[in-house]
Amino acid sequence: MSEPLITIKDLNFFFGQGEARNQILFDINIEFMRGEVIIMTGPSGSGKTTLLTLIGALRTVQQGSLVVSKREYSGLNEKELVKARRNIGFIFQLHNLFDSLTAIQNVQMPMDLKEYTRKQRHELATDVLSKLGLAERLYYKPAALSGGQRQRVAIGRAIVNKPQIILADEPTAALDTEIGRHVIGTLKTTAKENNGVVLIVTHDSRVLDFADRIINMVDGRIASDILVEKSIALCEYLTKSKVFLGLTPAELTEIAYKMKMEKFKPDETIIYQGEEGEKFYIIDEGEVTVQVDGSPVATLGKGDFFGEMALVTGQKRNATCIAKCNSKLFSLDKDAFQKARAACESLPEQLIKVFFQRG
Amino acid sequence: MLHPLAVMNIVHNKSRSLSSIVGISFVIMIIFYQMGAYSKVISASMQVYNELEFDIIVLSNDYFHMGQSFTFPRQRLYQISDISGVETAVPFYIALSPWRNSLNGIIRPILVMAMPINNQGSQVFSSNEIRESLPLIIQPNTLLFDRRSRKFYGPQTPGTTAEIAGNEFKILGNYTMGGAFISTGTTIVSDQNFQRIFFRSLDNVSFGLIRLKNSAHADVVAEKMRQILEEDVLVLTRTELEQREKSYWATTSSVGLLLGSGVIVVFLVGIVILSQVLATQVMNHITEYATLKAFGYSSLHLANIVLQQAFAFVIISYVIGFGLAVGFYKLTSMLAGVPIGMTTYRAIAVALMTIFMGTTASITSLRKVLLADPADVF
Repeated sequence: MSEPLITIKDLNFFFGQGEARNQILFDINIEFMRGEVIIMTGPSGSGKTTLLTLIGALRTVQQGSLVVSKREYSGLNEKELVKARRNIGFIFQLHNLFDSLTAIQNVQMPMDLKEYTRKQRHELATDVLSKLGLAERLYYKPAALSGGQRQRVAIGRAIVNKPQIILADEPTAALDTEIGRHVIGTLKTTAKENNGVVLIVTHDSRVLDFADRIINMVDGRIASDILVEKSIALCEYLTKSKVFLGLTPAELTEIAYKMKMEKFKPDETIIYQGEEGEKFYIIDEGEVTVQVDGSPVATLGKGDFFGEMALVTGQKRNATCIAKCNSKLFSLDKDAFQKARAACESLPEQLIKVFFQRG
Repeated sequence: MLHPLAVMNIVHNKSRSLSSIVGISFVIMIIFYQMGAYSKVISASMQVYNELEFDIIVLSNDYFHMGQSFTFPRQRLYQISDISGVETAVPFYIALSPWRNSLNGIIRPILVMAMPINNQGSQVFSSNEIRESLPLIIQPNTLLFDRRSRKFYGPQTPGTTAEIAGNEFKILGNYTMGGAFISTGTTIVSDQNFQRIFFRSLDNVSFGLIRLKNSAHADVVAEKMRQILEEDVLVLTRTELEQREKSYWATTSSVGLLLGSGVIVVFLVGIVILSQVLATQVMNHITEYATLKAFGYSSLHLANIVLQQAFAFVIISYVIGFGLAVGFYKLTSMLAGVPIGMTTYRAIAVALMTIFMGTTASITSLRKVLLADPADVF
């Protein structure tokens, strides 16, 4: 089981003082797990860059707790913050390469802060740049490199010390699709190899599929925190279910985000025949036996769903569902289900079709 | 070891760095030049005295400097000639007189020096060339002419004539001395000829040049003289004279004050220029410094880079400024006839001043770097 590398609790941040004091971040509570690539989106001024700079130890934590690699950042003095930054790789939107230095010298700059021999410095920097496809450009200055090459040098500089945390601000903004995806792909590989966290602030929808999580920030708050893989799987289940036919991918994603994982042991009853309908279920793992009046009538497996009829009709449950083995199910509560239904004008008709098919 | 960023930031933007280096070099060259001129004024105050042989000098109590030396009664020299330790007491005459160029008739003031041409008087000058030529100018209306006199005085060749204060004089020999800041030309005549030029009694002496016996101590003898002599004269040892002259030219004369304050002004201007140059350099790279802070570079690391960059500028500029100053010294020596040369003392002094300027300017620039917010690079 993955453990959190970054844990943020009740984090608030303010700019200015006195009457001019302006709150930028509100009650941020979140964890970033090792090996995760997190994409952070949100409109300008939503606080995502501020959060990035706090995690990067570029600002002082004012209220709340920010723990990075088991170290509490709150209360660190300037000297300790400077030290903390040495374990973080930064990638900037405008690369921020040193114009006067060659690609390899740029990559070697953060290496000055670690204890490398001259030979190690050269070999490591060369190796990193070579892996990024810049073996032939080691001694080129930034002005002689293309935008993509410059950004790859910036990535090389960020990862050369093998930091556990890499913070990137719009790293693909100036890149074409192919290079942009290559850049994020490299970062994802680095996150997995180092068992670290890559946190990317971006508005670039071309690279969203690389993310393990997508966090959306609005007005200094986390508006959504979506586990992408699970979300995609859920959306596929939802699409397959035909219950939500006609909903847009965004609406489906919204439903998926609201679903919760529930675990059931063998022979554990999930719903009872005759009770009020409270939840809609989709099976992620395991099997579920459907019984009517005590007799099994069907067995449902991965991707199958149940519990929708009582929610739509308002009638009592017409069957009992029991976990056949250890099972994981995604559940959607009644309110969320009704809202999704309201969003889909053709839902009643579609449900009738479903009922008809079952009948 | 030099940080590559400090070096490469200078090398990378050549034109910008070059203009900065030219600015700083110019300041350093001006400091060198001002200091050279200043020290020349001071050292030149002794230029003529250095050609004279004496251990103690007797001067008028009204004496300011060689150009305003006034006179005192020759009687004072007789009073002290019998003091134990005194070997000779020779009267020396000095005054400025109009000199007419025999070719174009243009009149310029010239410094006229004179002494009795006898056994004692002939030993007054340390130059053998002068000593050997002195017998030539016993004759009326004859003189020796200084080769370092400016060209506008006319022909210097022995045998040619010139006019001093309306009297025609014949040049019978040359010597090398220079009038420093007192006069652009000098000439040596006998005391008799001096009297002819100025219609001045030889009883009014400009200087009394006292030579002591080998065993005598100048301070002791000078003290004895002060006790004997009236208050209308000053008795100074050679060292005391040198201190007095230098002090006058350094702290009292307008030229000394001008050049001395010039050094201070240029030094201050240098700090301002250097601060501007370094501040511009730092501001041009402020994002880079903020980026370094984001990487975890400490203030000490950054200070090291900024100081290295500043001192690389300063060292390169110093070398260029030094070279330019040597060139200008030569040019000035050639054009103005005032020999100024580079000295180790001055090279070290300006180097120290440059280091001070660099440090002061760096501190100002460093403040900007240390205030750079790494969060701003996002």
